Amino acid sequence: MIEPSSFPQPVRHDVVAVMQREWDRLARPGATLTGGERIELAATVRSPVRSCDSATPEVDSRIAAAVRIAHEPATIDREFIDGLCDSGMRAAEYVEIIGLVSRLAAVDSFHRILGAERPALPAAVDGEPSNDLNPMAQSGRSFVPMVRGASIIYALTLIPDEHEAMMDDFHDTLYLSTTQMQQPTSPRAITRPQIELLATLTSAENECFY
Amino acid sequence: MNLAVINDRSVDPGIVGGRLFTDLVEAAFGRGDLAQVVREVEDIAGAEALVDAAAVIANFEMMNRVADAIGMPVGRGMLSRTAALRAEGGLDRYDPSG
Repeated sequence: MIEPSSFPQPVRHDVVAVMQREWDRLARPGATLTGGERIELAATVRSPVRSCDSATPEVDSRIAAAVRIAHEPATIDREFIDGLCDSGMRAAEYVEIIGLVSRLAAVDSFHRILGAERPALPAAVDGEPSNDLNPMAQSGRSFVPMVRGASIIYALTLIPDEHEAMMDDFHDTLYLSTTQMQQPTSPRAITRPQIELLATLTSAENECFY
Repeated sequence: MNLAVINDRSVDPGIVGGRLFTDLVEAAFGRGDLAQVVREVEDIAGAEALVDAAAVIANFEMMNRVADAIGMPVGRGMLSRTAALRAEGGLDRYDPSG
């Protein structure tokens, strides 16, 4: 459970709500993974001891993808992606793993910076994956199919739920909406130059060229 | 904003509060006493500013992973428009295409 009292400081209600929605989303079946599989991946990337020596090659490749995205994202290249494809991983499965691991990184980072205790992972919710994919998504120059393509804001559009979680929830609430991005002023308690300085330095720390 | 701060964190970023928020990112990535820097940000800029700054860092922890994981291409137009900016900040060293 993530709630206002989880933090030492007063945190905007919309931010707390986004994080609690993510915890609920993490526990539920996604487009390709069950709730149990999603929680297992989240627990694995949080664990200081990570192993790819699991029961099946299918699970191994999921863990390999999740761990790489969580801890060494700048090293992901075509060769790594080809290896995942060779192991039988579908593009939609990879997109779902990108979504859940990247948002987990955001939730954990936010808690750590504010000195809040990292929230315990939720209990998995039973049910089958929805297989709800966007049929308009097409392969292009990136590693995954997407709708419209070639923009970070469409990165996870193969899975509508993942796209909405990344953009409508996290991006718009923690950073700025695409409309707010066009404005020189800031709706936050920090100025637009301060926001962009934080964004630039964080991206440099992560060695992210984009 | 002085983008030289990307390569040399001792450089003044040239914006109000720039030094303070640079220290926050540094500490968030394991260089410096995070609890101490957080207290400084809270004392100087306020709790609301601290929370918004932590939220921006968290968002880019997500966005950076997404961009790297999908192999987000940077188009020729963007590369052309940002050549001087990338040179100033020494950003081409992060280009996965080499």
